[in-house]
Amino acid sequence: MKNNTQYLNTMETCQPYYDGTYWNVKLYDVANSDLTTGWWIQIFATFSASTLVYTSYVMASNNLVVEFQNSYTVTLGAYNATRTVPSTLSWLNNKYVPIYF
Amino acid sequence: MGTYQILWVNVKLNKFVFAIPKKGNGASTTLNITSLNNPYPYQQSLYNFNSTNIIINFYNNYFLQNKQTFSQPSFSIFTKNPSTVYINQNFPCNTIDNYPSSNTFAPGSLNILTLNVEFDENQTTILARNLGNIMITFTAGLNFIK
Repeated sequence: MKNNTQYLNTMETCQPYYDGTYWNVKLYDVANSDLTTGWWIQIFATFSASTLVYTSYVMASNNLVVEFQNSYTVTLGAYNATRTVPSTLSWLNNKYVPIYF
Repeated sequence: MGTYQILWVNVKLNKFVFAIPKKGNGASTTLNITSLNNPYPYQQSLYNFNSTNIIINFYNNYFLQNKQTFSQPSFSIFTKNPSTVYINQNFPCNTIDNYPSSNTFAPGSLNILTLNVEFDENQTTILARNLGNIMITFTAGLNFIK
């Protein structure tokens, strides 16, 4: 998570978790952070379709009452359903590995 | 309330006792309670805990003459404000980061998704509303977050 120029410890302030149905990303303690114009959140993920649907909730820190809510539908232009991920990884060529004889 | 004599106040108990001049039968007395604020969403439990009723007891010479209960609306009547915290869909970063941009990625491959959360609310207001957490729930198109 990044606030303009400063990266934060992701495991303290931005955590992904699976609730049994959906994957979520939760940002903690944003009000007490050095808030200016917003945040950049980077998520390392795998995708299953070219249309990504997600909902954002802004909640009070004391009792999880939702104050703001927005839903988004985003087209991932670079998603290519015809491409495949290699099923096996190739091993390093042993002759270039030090201490290998 | 300023035109009436306040006899006793306990803000912890939310009780106010004041004297009003005697009036003839059928003459009304207007009681204005001003400077009321709607609760913020984080105050929902406090609002419900304090009861949603206003009870007014009428006394004459220390003897209870009448009692009326006025109900405040339930918390559910309040509606959400237009969101001032959102993910900016017009910002170029709200997509997959792939380099060069002409590259495509395969289903199931790990990629970085960057989202831009923006605030149209100043920090003073956010603190007043006790807004502390943001949650993003992916309901379609995403398999796994690493």
